[in-house]
Amino acid sequence: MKKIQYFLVSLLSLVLVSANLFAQNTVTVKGTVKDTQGDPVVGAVVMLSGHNSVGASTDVNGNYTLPIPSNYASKGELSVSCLGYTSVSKPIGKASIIDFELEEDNERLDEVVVVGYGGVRRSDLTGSVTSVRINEEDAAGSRSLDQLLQGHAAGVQVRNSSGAPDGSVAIRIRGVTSLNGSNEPLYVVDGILMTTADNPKMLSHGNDNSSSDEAVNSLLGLNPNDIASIEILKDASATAIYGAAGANGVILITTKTATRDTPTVSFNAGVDIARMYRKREMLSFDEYVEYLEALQNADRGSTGVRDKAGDVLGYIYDDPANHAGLNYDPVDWQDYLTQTAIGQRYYFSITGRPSDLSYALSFGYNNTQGVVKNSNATQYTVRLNADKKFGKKLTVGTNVSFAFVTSLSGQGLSATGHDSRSSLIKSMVMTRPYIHPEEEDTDANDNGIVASPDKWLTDFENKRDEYRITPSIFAEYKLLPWLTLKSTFGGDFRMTERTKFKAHTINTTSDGTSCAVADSRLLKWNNDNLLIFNKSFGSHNLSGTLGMTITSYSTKAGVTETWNMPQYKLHYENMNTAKNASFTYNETLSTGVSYFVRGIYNYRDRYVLTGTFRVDGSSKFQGANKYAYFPSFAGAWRINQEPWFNVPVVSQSKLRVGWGRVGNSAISEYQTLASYSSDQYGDHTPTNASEFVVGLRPGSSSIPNPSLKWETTEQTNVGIDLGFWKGRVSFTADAYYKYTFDLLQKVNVPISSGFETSWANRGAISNRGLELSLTTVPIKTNDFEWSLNGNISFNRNRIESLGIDSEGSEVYLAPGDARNVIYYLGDTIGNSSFFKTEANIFIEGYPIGLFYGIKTDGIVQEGETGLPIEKDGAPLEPGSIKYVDINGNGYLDNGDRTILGDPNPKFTYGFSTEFDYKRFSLSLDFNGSYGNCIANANLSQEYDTSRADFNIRKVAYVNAWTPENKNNKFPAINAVSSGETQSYFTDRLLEDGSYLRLANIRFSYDLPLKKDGFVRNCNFGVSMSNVYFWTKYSGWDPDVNSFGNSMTRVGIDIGSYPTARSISFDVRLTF
Amino acid sequence: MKKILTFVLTAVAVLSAASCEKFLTESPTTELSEATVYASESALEADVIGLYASLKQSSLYQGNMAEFLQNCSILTHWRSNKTTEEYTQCYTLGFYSDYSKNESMFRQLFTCIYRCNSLISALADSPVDESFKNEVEGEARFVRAFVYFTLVRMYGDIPLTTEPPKSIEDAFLPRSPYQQVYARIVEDLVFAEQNMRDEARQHAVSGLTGRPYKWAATALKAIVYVQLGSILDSPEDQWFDTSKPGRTPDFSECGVTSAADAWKKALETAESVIASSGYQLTPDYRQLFRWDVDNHPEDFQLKERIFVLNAVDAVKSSNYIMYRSLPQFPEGSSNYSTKNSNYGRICPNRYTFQRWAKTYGGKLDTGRKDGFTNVYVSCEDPRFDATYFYNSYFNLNTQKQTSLYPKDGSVYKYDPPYFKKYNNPRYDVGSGYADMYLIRFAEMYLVAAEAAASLSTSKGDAYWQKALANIEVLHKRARQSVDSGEAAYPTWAGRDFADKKELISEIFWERWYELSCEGHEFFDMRRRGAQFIVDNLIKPVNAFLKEPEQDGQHPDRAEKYISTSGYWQYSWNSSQMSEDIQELRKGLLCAYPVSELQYNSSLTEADQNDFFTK
Repeated sequence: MKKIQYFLVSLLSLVLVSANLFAQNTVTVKGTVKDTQGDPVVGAVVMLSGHNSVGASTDVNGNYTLPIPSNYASKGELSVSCLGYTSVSKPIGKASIIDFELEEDNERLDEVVVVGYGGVRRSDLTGSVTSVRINEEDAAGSRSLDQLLQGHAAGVQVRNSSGAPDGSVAIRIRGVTSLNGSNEPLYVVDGILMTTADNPKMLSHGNDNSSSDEAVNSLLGLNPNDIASIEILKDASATAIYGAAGANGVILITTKTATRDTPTVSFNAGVDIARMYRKREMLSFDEYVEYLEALQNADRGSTGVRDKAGDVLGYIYDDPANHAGLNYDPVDWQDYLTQTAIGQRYYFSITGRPSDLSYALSFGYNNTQGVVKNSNATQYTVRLNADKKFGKKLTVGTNVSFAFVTSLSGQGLSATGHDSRSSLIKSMVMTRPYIHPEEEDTDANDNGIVASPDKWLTDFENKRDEYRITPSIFAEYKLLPWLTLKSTFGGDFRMTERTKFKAHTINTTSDGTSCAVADSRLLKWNNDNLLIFNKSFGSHNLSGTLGMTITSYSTKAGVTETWNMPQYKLHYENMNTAKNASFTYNETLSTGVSYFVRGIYNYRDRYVLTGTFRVDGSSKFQGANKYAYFPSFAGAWRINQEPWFNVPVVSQSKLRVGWGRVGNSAISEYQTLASYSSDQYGDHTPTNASEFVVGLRPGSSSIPNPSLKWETTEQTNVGIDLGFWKGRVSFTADAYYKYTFDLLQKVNVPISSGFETSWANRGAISNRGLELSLTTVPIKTNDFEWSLNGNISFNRNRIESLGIDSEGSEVYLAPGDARNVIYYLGDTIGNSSFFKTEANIFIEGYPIGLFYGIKTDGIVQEGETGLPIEKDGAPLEPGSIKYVDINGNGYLDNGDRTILGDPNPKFTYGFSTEFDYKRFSLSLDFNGSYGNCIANANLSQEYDTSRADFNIRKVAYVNAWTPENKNNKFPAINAVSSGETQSYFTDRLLEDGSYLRLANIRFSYDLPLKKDGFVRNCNFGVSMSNVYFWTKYSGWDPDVNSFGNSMTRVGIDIGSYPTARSISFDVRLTF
Repeated sequence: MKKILTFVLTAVAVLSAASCEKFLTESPTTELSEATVYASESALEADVIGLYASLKQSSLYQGNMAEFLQNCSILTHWRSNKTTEEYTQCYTLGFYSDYSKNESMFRQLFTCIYRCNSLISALADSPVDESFKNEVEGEARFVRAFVYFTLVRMYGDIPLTTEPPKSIEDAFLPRSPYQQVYARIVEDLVFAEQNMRDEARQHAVSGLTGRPYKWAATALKAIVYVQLGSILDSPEDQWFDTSKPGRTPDFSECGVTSAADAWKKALETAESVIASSGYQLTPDYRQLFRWDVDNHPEDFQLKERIFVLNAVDAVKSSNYIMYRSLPQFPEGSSNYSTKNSNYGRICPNRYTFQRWAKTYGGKLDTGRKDGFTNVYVSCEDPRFDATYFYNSYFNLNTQKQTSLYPKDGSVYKYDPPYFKKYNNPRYDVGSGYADMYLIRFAEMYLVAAEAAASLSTSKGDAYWQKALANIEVLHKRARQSVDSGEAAYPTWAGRDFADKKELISEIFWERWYELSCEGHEFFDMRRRGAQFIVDNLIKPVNAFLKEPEQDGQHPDRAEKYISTSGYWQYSWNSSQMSEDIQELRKGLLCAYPVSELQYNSSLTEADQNDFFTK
């Protein structure tokens, strides 16, 4: 496309220039026009300023020769302009050779933007599309795509579930549209629909709930260096072309192709050195012993502490009499289990465009160690993009990528358990701060807490390997000058293997040493057939796409698990000797067929109208519900193109209005069908007294619902794009209202039906929001440039209806404000003796996932009595937590719960600034979130000053209430009962999650090199990531959502992996 | 050019439209489909096995029902370090509406009902031979009757349906009056009696022992009549409030006109099972609980098995009642490779333990180290030793004799006696198993005895004698359950019962001695109403706890050393139970689960059980 532009422009300028040549006394000025990459700019127009009759255009090598009337030469100025670049002027003086370097135009109005199944000129965009500019340096330093998006696109919220090297991220575009289906956007790479499924699921065994909680970043297979551009389609008029997959927004990724004819070789290398951002301040050994003594002295007759033995060792948790003569070595487990992590990155690419062939081949390697020992991730990526023209009409090409991602997760999979058996992270924070020789030698005891954290390093392994091949081929044929037929066949094939081993030294349940091997094969392919048209009739232009696509998604997954293995030191090698085993295998297949059309009508570049219509058919639904129809309409008015518009500073002004419908069918396959499964039953026949027979039974706890259909989202968007001073300042604002109805919900049915749930289309939620983004270049001189960009997004969601036909029941929205509302509660957070309760409530008419729990009012002071924990129980003594008896029944129970906070931020924002001085460059990148709360589930245990079997936060011990230290925040030692910490979620665990993060500082230097030398570009960079958080949050990182892919546990931090602060050194070379 | 365009568009449209319907139809490859699961005799046979397997769900007979329901009876003691709420429920009788295990029992019982209904309704379209389908329907209706019988005794009025829900709308059912539920149970059992296989045919088809055949339906019917007779004998202190409309017991739909009619039917039915010749008492009581299949394969073929829930070897957690009733690392078991923290949650109550010993030749001794001598430490009934680990047992892990009640070294913390019935020497984490008797032949003698006693009009009349004779059958077998000769106990010879009430009460205790830890506790102690509970359990237990040797002299200790795991909990100060009849009536049922009231729009909060407050 660019080539055509060059051609048109140079033709135009030649005509202009040649017609006006008149001068006789001339001096000839020569030179070369190149872009910032050093590539020649073809077809740039070089003119004598103020005399548009004197000019020339550059040839294919960027060279120009311009005769200038001698009387103008010394005083005059030469200006160069070219589409896609900003114009530059230089005084002529006495020079006879003047070279120019052109920079890309910020407004890029004529650039073609990929919008799915075709492209459109940026100026013709009617929908809300955010283009994320890929900064080569950022890409070189990033491990995955999400790092390029965070804070850089308004309306796009990136949240990490974990700081682990392979930890998953959840990306939400304009809020949440589904309560049970997926909220992940659709990823399309070079036209191929990618899968974002996480992992083959393993059964839950060994107390780690691995099936539900474990998620890894499915974007790791895509090397950020390969990305040429990212477009984020946000409103329905933009995403409607993707119909039933577009409700959560679409992220379109285009990978790099050759940009110049001669071969370009580039090579990047980098080293990262990372440490944990901060430690959690737990008790040291000495403090812990003091704490035990205090606990002993405060014993009010409850359980937990052994007899007092007199000397200091007497307060060690276990009865010292059993360990006479043994030494307790103080250990700081956080230091012990974390490391300085070294990572390495290499990227090599070669691109070129000899004659009709264009190719780009790249290889990437990225190794990241986790800051916690035994965790790492390594990615290998290979990509080949090539296309070849046959004659003038036919182009055939391919985009193929191969990725191998291997990772070791040291975390222990799940963080929901509150004890050291469930997670390495919990173990390193919570284990008592000493090591004990006997514990080293023996198995963990029944209390379960003693399993020494270092066992995680030797007796645990969780490995994941993924092979991902994303092949595609396409053929494009120009039927007519204005009509192109394009057919693409592409697939995303992922093979994932997981192996997990957990010895009984950690897994102290009756499952003993356990092991699992799982593999899954996911194949998603699509075939698109498109007719792309673009035709002008006088002042009218009509362009667009007509097409159909077929998709198929199949999964095959097998899991083998064994437990009670006799020899734990042999790891996997003795799976076959295990006492117990289970095997599962499962296949699914879903298919879709769609037809769509998009037309863009443009009148005199002033008015643009877009209409899209898509029909989607899916195998997941039955009968008439198989098909759904997704229309959208949008219009744009380019006010500055109006003849009457005459405000010179305004270089662009466009008003956009759009409406559309999109869908979401993200439920599992076969939900409309009845299923059956098998059971074992004892076969006590004379011959087979210890065998079993197979019984069959209906297999689902969900009533099959044949009338299921799609979730539908309607969205209206109004936006304005403004540009000032030729793009030095540009501003975009979008306001939207999104209404999602027919929500796919797993509704509860009366259990007397023999079922628990049924999928049904019920209820509606809305999101409304405002997104602002601003890019500016406040200062720009030849040597110095300062740019400043920022964006901010406000989103408010609301559950409009839950579709439950009931009068609702009573909920205290605030103390004293009980109302009958329709609601449901989220899922239970912890699975052991802490926080075994829900944290979120979903109420009709209110935002999604509000925190719901018990209010507290400081500490019971002397002379006061606190609320009894149980009916007819004893009132709490001074030093206890003062719970608020909201329902006034005289004791603490679940009826005392009320709304405690909101996990949804009021706004999220990001801003970045860059200073370029000559060859030096400094950039700073900030992002943040404001107004959300986080339920810090870790605190329920870390603040529990009543238990001797694990370490606690220092602040809770040092500031504990005593008659002398009558503080109002931390209860007295031993004042909290296990019933409280287990059954209730109190506002003591809720923290302000607002933060501002200095995400990255980068300093780089371009080596001065000859532009046409062997090495054309050499850049050195030093950068630091996660530089600083401004936050009140006391966990590792306020950018956390431990259950990132769950809509029933929102805004929770439980056992998350610690965030790393890293410093990186990079070098980038271009040949 | 236009031609090409037209061609291309037409081709694309035609190609895709033609194959579209088929392409967009789901056909699961790794799941069974409706077409195959009812299509053949062997499939239907597997469907029936599926019904029995569904009774083994973790919340049902061997699982939560064994652990929680059984313990909610005073007869046993729930021993665990779990929350006091659970303990309190077991101890004060009755499960709370929001108690998760109450809900899960309710849910899984109804899952069984659904599975029965699903199978029965699918039979209509099955191509299998009619007579085979009738046999299958008979067996499915037997299972359905069994589960409804459990449900109606746990929850009173319950939704009654014989069709599986086809859509969400079908799922919202109101509670049907309990009289209708009983009528449905009897109707199903009559159908089952007529259509189930006889012994020979069942054996030929499946070979499974303990799988119900024809006479199992008759046996269950006898037990149902006992239930009806008990209710009709005591309508004023049952779970229902007779002042409310429709609550007065009227079982005319079951063909039962009065209490005497119910008892007569119970007696006749039980006697017909006894006379049927298909079943026999196992010669030695101990054989019933020998699960070592390698050494005693013959035990699994014994004809006392009317309806047995067959456990499965080598399946993780297939048998909760086994490891939840045994002590930790019991002798005879190879269970020492893993630490099982769930052991021994179901223990005999101290009072019931002592009562049995006292009744049948028990010896008083120094039970505790602090010197009280008034404690029974043995019993001459051979069933006693087959039922309990007590005094001490050999712990395979510590390789030491571990002390148990009543001989225990610790003053403040007793380890209770444990049940022994499910001890399998082969048990080791996931392998080794013990079946559970849902109905065994001995119960028919107890049914006949109780029915006869209830029909007796004067001390020593023919019915009275019949009652004694039936009990003697079991006593004789028990006395013979020793290695050589005959034990002196149990026997009623020379015993005099003051009146019919006392006789009935003693038969209640005989049921406990014979059938303890086999899942009858919850139902047996409630069946005859609140006054019966007060007379037979609460008053004696309250008094027992005040005896000096039972820590009655330390009323203060319970406050400070409350421990749900040990026996200390049973200090008289903290464990005196209410003797108020009205208070007890609400505990005769489990509360109707809160989620059912919440999600079922055909119910409101007012549909909770009578007398129920929390």
